[in-house]
Amino acid sequence: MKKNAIINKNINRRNLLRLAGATTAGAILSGFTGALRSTFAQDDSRAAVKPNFIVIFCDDLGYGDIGCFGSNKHRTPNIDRMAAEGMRFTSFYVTSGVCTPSRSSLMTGCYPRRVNMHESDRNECVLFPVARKGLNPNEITIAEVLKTQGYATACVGKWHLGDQPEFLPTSQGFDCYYGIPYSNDMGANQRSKNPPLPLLENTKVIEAPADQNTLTKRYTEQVIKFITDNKNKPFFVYLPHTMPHNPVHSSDKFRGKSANNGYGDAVEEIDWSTGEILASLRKLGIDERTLVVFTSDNGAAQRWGGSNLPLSGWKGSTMEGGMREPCVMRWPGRIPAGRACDELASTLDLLPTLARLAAAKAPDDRIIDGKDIWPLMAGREGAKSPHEVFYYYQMDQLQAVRSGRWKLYLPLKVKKRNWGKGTSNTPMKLYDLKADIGEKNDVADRHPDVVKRLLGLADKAREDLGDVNYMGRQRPAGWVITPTPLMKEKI
Amino acid sequence: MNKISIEQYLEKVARFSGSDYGKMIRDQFEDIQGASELAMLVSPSTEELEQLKKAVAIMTPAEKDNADTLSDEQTEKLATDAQIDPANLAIFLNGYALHCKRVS
Repeated sequence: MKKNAIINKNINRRNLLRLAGATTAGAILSGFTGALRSTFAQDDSRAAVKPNFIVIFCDDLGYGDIGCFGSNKHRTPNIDRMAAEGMRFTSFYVTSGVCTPSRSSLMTGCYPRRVNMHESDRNECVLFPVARKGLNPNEITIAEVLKTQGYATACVGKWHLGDQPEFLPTSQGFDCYYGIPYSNDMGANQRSKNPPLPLLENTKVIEAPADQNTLTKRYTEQVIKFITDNKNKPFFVYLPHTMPHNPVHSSDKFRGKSANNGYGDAVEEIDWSTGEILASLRKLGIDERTLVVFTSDNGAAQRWGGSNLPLSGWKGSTMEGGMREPCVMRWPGRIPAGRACDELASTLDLLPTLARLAAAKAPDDRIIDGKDIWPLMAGREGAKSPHEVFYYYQMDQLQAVRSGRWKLYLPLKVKKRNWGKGTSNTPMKLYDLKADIGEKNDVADRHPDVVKRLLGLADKAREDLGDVNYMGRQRPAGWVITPTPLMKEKI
Repeated sequence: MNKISIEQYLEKVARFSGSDYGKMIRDQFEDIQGASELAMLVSPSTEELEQLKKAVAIMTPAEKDNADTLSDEQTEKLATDAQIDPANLAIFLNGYALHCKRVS
């Protein structure tokens, strides 16, 4: 018998179509096993076995960079299959167009301004090496919430929430850490004052400069080892890939193989990595008790080959292309297969949602901006976004507000940019994102009532989260007095 | 929305076939017990692809137009005429039917 022989030779067209019809029309790759399950758990907090969670968080991957979100350039069959077996979230947001603030929200369920991670110790848009500032260890991270329920926790990849020991993952609820502490363009090659890009195991530098060609491969191996070692207890894996952030790298197997230069190679290796992780879950028999979330920290950057289409704008902006991300969630038997959800959701929501699924208590001694989005993930009939409003901040400046289908850009005397001088006198603009996802047609004149309502919501945000020259209800970041560079110990 | 033709779908299915990348993806998709048909649709082997090409080549215009609704009997006959594995053709035509359902 040939190697790739069909296993079920009794297959016929009617049987296949009947099975597929039990799910949704989107089931071309949906995995017919999913079709056989007709009911979904109504309340997963009551589940006897706690679910595992894996959050795959790419760096600078754009909305249009994977096949199931429209890419024709990149081959991403594993992520596409994940989407066919799970749910695509098409209005899924991060809270900033750049790394550090975006990541602070995923970790804490709060807007970056809330936890004072919207700018660096030097008022830059992200943290740089040897930063005095970091995510306050007093913040309660998603890993710490899950630790209360006995979860094993691992962070594998780029952290970028502070490079001092006090701020690293092992001080923020993770049992172990393997990865680079900040962006891959912050090594000595890029800025001579920086230490060589360190690869850390927990808090120890094990390689400097890190061999970036093999990072995705090594991250994948680390994750598979961790989930294999912890297959008999609940685990949380946070996998913030270093790629496809510039400078892009990939291993030999992928380098030069895509149709989109190094950027495409890196994306295709991430797809391979995702496939390997999903295969491991199946092999270990824990596929059906593991929720996997795949998304990105911000949109693709303008120069390096990524795509945010059909959105406008790039990384670092408050346009949709900067802050709306491709997002796929898969949990066989719990999340219905082959669906898309266009309700507004965000990385803010992962902490409260995962807490609920793990039967853990989300922090109630402080404001958490995220909401439980399990009804959306479970595909409940008529489920709506729990967010009345979503705020688009650029560092400390509130620039836009979304409520339902409407997005209002606020009129600003100086609209801040991440780098360089701001733009003077930007006008108010209103977009109907349902009808105009590319933000092309300003309809402010036609909807004064909507404008008025959204301006009111902006005022609320200023009062609560603050704005330029107004702090709002902000909690302090973590600080150290004398930060030291992360260097490899000399033997 | 107009459905894609069976030839276009064949092109889509064939995109990874025969390459090292296709072999890697085939291996990644092989682990779904009892559902290796998915692997065949994502990355058919060269032999499987040749079979599918043969079947599509001998389809009549009417069969091509209605490829998403062919009966089991029609599929079986087509496979016999093309002298190919009927299971491969059934999987391929089902993939096409589901694809049409998805995008229309």
